[in-house]
Amino acid sequence: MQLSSSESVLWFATIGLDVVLAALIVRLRFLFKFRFFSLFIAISSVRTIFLWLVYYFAGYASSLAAHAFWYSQPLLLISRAAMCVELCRLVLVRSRGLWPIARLVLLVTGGGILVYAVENSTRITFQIPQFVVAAERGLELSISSVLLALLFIASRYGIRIQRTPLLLVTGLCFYSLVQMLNNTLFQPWTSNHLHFYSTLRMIAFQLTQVVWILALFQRDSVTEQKLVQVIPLVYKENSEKVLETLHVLDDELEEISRR
Amino acid sequence: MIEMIVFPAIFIAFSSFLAWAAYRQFAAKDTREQDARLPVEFLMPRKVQEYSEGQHRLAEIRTEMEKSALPAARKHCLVQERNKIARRLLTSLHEDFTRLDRLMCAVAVVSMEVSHEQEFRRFLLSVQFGIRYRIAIFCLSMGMLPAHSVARLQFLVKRSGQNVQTLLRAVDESLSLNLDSTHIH
Repeated sequence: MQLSSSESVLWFATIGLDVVLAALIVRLRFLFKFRFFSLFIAISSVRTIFLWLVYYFAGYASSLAAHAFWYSQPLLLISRAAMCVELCRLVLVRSRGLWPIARLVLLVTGGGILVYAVENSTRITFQIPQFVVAAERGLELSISSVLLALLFIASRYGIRIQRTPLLLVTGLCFYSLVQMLNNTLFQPWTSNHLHFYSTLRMIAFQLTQVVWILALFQRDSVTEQKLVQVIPLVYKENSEKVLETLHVLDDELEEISRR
Repeated sequence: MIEMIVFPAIFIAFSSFLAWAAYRQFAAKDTREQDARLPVEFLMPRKVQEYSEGQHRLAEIRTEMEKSALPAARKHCLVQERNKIARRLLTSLHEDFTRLDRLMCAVAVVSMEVSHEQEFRRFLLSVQFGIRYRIAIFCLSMGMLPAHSVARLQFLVKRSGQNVQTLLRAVDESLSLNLDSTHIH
């Protein structure tokens, strides 16, 4: 069984966008600024081309194609998780005081969901596709939760994320959410759903690639921001007093509501 | 089967939050980082004149309502006006809270050392306050807030306003001292 013409178009588009992304990373010198993002794009490009060659020569429904797809999938997942960690660090590390707290929150969020993912995937009979899909769903949920927690922390503390990391975060989170849904709605190991699963996955990934291409073109990403200046003791001296006042305001409101 | 309901629900909730948060980031300017440098009066833009007038008017309304021979239409009118003023005072209480919380967030972002415990407590407090404020506003709009609460509100807002202003001054002075030689971002 060979790829249909519509599937071929999707594959060529993905390969094309991957190549454009890789070229932009090298041309705009993002290779060292976003190391894991660059690594992910490199792995994704090589894998996409390799899979297309396997599908073309061995056939779409061959066992070689299935093995090539499912055994290379974990590598892609790990590199995507690494990219997520890199983005969190890049956004929050400038705020030295806040970073340890944020790191803890993100670790608890991501770790908690990962524990669920491990538990969920080990419950499933150990067959590679089912196991990978269950693990992938958990990991995608974990990645999207961590990225949303990152956006929440940035929003609460008024941290302005530069356009490039923001678009990278948005794209990655969108793709993770779509993949989580895709893995829930369609079981890709059954031939009935394979077409829908594959098409939705590729379209979501292409949209993400377009967002990432836009991210790389953002101008503010090139210039490094100045480091945060430290205000010694201000936080230490005032935080307790402010907290007390906030407590008073809250108690007062409670009093009003109760009466 | 449960998964078929839970995961799509998570997808909808998370996608909505992503869209909202990304939009906020795109539309954001460095306002909070600037808040730390703004004078207290700007952080507390409550119109003092209007505010004291409101308090005065509340006292008048209460005196008038205590009169026994008051036509029903007039009483209804007074209740409406009282609720309107109470709502304004409640909003100002909320603004005080939000501004102070935001100010501390801005300070935390540029500090070397931040207390885990205090940040966590402040976050919980802001969530709790937000819920209570919305309930109070709802009660007020439904006419469920009793008359004596409004009198108490008048006293409480006045006192807390003074407290907050004193503290904000202290924070602002410290910030000005430290920010004279340095700047954020």
